[in-house]
Amino acid sequence: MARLAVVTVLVLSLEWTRALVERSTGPIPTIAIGGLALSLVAIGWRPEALGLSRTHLLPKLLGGLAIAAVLLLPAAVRWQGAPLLPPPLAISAIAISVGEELAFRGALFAALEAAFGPLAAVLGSSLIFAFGHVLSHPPLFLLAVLAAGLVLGTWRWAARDLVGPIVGHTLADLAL
Amino acid sequence: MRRARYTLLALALVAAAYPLAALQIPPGFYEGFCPPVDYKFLTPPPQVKASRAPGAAHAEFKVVNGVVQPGFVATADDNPQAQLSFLPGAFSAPTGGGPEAIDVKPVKDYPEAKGLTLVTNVYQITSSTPMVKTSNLRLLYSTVLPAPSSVYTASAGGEWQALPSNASTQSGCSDIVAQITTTGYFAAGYSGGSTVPKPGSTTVGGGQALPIIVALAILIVVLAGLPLALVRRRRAAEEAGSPRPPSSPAPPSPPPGRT
Repeated sequence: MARLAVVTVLVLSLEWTRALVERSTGPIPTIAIGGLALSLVAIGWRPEALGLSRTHLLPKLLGGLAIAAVLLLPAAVRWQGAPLLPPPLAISAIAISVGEELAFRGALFAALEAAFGPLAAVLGSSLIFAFGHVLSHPPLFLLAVLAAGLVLGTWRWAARDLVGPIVGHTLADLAL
Repeated sequence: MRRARYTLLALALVAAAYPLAALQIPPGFYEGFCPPVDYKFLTPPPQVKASRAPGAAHAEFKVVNGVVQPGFVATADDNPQAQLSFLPGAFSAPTGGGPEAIDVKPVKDYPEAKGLTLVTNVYQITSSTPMVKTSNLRLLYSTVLPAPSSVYTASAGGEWQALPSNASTQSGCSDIVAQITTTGYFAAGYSGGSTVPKPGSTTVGGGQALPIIVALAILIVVLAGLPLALVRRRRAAEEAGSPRPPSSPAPPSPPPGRT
């Protein structure tokens, strides 16, 4: 329980700090630094506990593509050919995607599952993921953030895998 | 098998729920680095209930040794919606030694944009002398409408033409920059379509909803099938390693989202 509390406070603090700093300094390099900081939350956890293993890597990567496709579907049906993200923002998008997955679906999910079981891990990590975005996203977006968290968290539970969510989240952020 | 069914059901549910939730909001997640832009429309689209009037700009630039000095002209908005920046000598020097006057203003009367959907105001840029060097035009766009693909330009009575455009390196997602070589009318948009979607509606490319529904169904199956395959392979490996009596199956885990 203590570990869960520490991880929860840590990931929320990092997400909110990132959002507040970004308001005054702009997205570059705040988002990239925020992503790296979130990745550090996963230090001390066994890779297997985070859902990181090299077994069945191909289906996991394919799963990541499928997750990305689901996350991109709403944007795809309304896409009109927006310009690509400039490289500095693309690097930031990769950093924050990996960092958020390691923190929310990695460490936080593992702590929640150990304390309360898989259902609480999926729902809890998704709710905290949405709560972590209250300062960076307008309220209107939070339901979609929660729904994205459920997609990523359900995969994490179903396949015991974090590679797919990392790939899916990263591709979705790069393409949106 | 029971767990596999729950897994399939849970994945299908969340995969279907996400697009439904995301389609209710403007496009783009952007990890918060594209906050919604309070764009001021001269003629607001149906999505925008009220809009303050967009700003215009007028600036004069000194001429030193026959060269118009560099600078920028930005519309008088909190976040300038149109900004022209130029290098020394970008405009030919006015005769008589007076300053170079440049105006940027949103206009309602402009050449018809056939086959285009403009998502920003149309800005008319005028100057007291012709532009002779390439200058940069940055246009902000609203996050309520689909993002534009290009900046378009037209001269009075002429046809609209696309200019090579890039996302701004400053924000990357709510403004677009183009290099321009003449003054005239400018707006950001994309080719095709002439209607603007209603709030919360789904705009399907080409008006074909069925392929999207089919694609969604395929995705759900793929998304659900992969972990299923993983679970089965893991079980098969476990059973091959340590056979379990059929009378003591592992208890199924509760599905996520089930109350």
